[in-house]
Amino acid sequence: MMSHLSTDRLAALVDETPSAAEALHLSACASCTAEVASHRRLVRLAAQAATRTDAPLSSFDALVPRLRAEELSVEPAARRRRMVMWGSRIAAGLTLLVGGTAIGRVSAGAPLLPKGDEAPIVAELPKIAQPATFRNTNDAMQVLSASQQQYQEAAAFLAAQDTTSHFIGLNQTSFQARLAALDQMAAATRAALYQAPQDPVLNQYYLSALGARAATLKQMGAVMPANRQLVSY
Amino acid sequence: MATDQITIRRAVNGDESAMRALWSAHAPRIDAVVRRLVGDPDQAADIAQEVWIQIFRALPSWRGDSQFSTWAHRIAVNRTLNALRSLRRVQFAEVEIEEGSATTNEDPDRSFVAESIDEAVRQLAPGARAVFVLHDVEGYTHEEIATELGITTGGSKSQLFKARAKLRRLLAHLVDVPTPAKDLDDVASLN
Ligand SMILES: [Zn+2]
Repeated sequence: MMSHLSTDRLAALVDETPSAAEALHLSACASCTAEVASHRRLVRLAAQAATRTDAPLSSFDALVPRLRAEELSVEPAARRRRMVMWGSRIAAGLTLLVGGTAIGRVSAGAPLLPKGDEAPIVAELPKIAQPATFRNTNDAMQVLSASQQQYQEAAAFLAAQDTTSHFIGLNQTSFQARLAALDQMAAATRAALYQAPQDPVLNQYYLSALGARAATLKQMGAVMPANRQLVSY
Repeated sequence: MATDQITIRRAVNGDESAMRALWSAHAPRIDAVVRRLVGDPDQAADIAQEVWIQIFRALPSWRGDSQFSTWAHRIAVNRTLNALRSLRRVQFAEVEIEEGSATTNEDPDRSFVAESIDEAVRQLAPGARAVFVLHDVEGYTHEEIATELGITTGGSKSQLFKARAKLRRLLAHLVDVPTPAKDLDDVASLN
């Protein structure tokens, strides 16, 4: 009978197969067999430890200063301010997109420029940088700001020029179609914003959709008979 | 625990409440592995913070093709081993574990009455502790450990068996299998 197994072998036999000689020894030696069993218990205890959880070593609040310093997180208050900032600065840039469509349709029904005037109205407006020329977010913000101002001025101009024939050619059905589309757009962008609240493009589309929706409701109110009221859409 | 993907998306976007939710759900498990690998509680707390910063930094790279907990766990192990290397210049080389080589300022008798395997693991030398925790607690293979620690698979096995042998002694009160002689003692002590 061979001598007792080494401590290394006793520990190894938890997950290794004994050699023929080792197996023979184990079959006859209660002490070595007990040692292997003890090691098995140890390894079982260790595996159980994997699922054990303890109180965290620290707190999330202790992480916050570094998360903010590295701009991995945004302080909730700053986050709200940022959202408002996006809102106020951005609404216009892409309101151009949604609002522009509305204006286009309006002007199709009631041309606002004298016929024969070949100069497009945009040509007289300050030049707007193309997206490719943005060097940084400040650049982009300035362009958005300029766009917003232009849009407001254009809308004011249109309103001043034409107060009666704005909606010729646009009946209630087409308004409702537009509202339905805007509602879908607002819902889709709102859902997307939930996942990416800081995405400037999503913010723009969302705010634009809301703005255009409000404007459309107003316009519908203006063209609808006074005895009919829009409750909701 | 299935982590809400939307929570992760929000956290990627810097939403602190979402980050807090992730931390609350996973810190008990993540911090536990850090604690086991590091041993020293104060050092473990510092390293756990580093681990979490690293998890949040890497969050945009989580593709959702693996469990978030598994993914974060890997980062925790990796980051902890790196921190141990730089903090203590720990070499996970194939060194012999000498008796008493572990740094401990605890009462030597405490190891024999320790009820927690974590306390006994803390008494192992850093290299042996890493191998034992990775293999027997975390379920890594010797190949994975070899890669993670920059040692050979033979070295990983050798360290593991030595760590087990030492823990088996430290935790005798928990793992001893009664021999016939001991059974008699047990019966006697019951009477
Ligand atoms: Zn034997």
